[in-house]
Amino acid sequence: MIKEMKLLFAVVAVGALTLSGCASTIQYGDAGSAKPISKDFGSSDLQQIAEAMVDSMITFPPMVELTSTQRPVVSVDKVKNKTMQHIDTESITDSVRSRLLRSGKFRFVDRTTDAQTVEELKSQQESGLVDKKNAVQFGQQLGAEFLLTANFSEIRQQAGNTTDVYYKFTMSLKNLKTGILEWSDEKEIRKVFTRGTFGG
Amino acid sequence: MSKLLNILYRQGVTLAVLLTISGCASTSTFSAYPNKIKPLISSLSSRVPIDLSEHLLSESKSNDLILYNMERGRFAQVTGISDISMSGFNTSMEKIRENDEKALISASGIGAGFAATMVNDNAIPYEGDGYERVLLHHYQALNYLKKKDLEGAGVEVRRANAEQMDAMKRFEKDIDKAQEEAEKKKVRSNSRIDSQYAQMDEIAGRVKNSFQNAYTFYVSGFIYELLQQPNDAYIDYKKALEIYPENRYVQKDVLRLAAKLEMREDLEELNRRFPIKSLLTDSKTDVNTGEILVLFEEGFVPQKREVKIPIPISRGGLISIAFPVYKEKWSVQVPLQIFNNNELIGSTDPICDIRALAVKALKEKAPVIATRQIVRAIAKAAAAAAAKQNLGELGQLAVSVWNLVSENADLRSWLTLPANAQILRATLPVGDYKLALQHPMTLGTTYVDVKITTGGKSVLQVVRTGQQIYSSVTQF
Repeated sequence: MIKEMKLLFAVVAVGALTLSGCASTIQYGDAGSAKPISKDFGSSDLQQIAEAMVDSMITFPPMVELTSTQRPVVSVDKVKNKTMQHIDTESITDSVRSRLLRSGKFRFVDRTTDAQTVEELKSQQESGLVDKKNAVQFGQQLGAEFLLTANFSEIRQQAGNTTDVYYKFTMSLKNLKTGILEWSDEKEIRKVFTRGTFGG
Repeated sequence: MSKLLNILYRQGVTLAVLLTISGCASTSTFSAYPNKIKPLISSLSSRVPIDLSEHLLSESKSNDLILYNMERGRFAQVTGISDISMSGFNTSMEKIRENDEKALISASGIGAGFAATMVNDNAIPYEGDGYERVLLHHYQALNYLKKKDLEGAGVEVRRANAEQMDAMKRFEKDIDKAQEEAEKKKVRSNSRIDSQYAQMDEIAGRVKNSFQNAYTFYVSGFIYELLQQPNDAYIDYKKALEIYPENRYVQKDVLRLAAKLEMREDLEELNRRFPIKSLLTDSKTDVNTGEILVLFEEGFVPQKREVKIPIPISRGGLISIAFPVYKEKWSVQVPLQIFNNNELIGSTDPICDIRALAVKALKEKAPVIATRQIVRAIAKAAAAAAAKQNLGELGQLAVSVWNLVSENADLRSWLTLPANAQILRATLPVGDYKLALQHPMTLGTTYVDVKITTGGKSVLQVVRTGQQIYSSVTQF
């Protein structure tokens, strides 16, 4: 009888331990941490790409020369997503753009807010509320001199339990007046995923 | 006394295991799957609405959630509720991914395997056949297309194409594994089982394999064209042509792009294979024309039926095993005709026989199913023998009854899929059209408003379920 009681206790204890192992945890992580947690495109990949692109662009000798006397106006085009994942490519260009802006070497035009701009200018011109002398006139914005374009592709290979995912991000800066590509670079990320043999 | 207790204890454990299995096993372990989907199918063919916020909701969270979410997703897509369709398909995709990345030997996998050995194949969580996984991405691409999210649609067709490649590899591996296991457990092929499957050869013979379909490649090519990637489009149109060379519209598109991309060698060969000069002349792009693409899907894929076959086992006696088979009269594919002001614009051409894909998929899996089935028969016979030894005749009877009751064929498959898919592509002068859709299986004519813009592409999706026609137009 005592033996059975002991057994029962042991079972309950093991059960309790197992259950407590399931409790969820939450903690802050480092935004730049390069620890891959899946073969998918993730936040650290985004950081890596943005960093690599910006570093490459602002240290490229002709760019250094160009930006030493002026701050060129750049327009950013949408990234062409050719991968097998639904990626918010806008957030990649946003990261690249804000890093470039903070470098102090470039200026940007933002086409995404054009509709609101027109609306605002119209109200300044027509509502009669704004002093005509300092109301912003149409047709005074600066045109972009350069266009920043990007392509994002993925090659996936599988052999046995290993999946090899290769991402390539290519970015180019085109001079809109001359049509010449002033700069281009690519960043590659490769992730190897191996399927475990044992697990839950 | 202690011996009796011991036996009771052992039987108790067995009983408990069986009860647990039946409790946690998914919804179709003891009731046939097609009955579960019947309401969806009859709702689609009668237009009597079903509330998806209630229907099959608990099933869509069960072990078979991949399958139920595909059904719900397809139902929502046909009835025009894109958001529910997208989230349903997403749930299925995520689970499939999770399964594919799960460790090879997992606790849950062992549990399901054991349950399948003692109960039936329905206890194995549904994983989705190759052709279903491909069509899952295909239909998700159409959802993105409807939302005019071309980038999203592009992602989905790339996934569908990758799935067609993966399915091929997975299939080869599965067959090897089944053969290995059959050898290890000394399972010989059973002529009665083989003859059941031989009956399906006629329809299965229409396709080379179950996971590659021309429809998905064609839609993929079309999406690449919308994305201004004619090179990628050409490759997928060519794949579609390889699988379904009879389709006039695919022939025309391959020829058109081969000419546009200056693929001279290809063009020569294509002209030899498809000597239809007139095709090229009327495909020239005029400033005042636009294109219409009609994706027509009709009917429903066939449902699996159960066949019970008694097989002799080495310990003496017979044990019955249940098999899924397709037993259906195969009807011909009837084209949809499209008129403008009583003038025929064209009729659709078949591009994919989804029935054949389903039947072929079952045929491909037959060796795997047969092996598992025979292993189960042996295990159940062994359980009956052990029960006789420990509990006498009554015990054996109980286990035999269990064996009989629990032996159900796995009838699960994606049932709201159409029986076949057809396409039509035409160049029309710019303008507003009221197109008349006519099909011999429907009463009367359905009218659809379509706008053709300069250089634009309008996609008209038409689904026929019984006498009902569902249609939607997206303009690019």
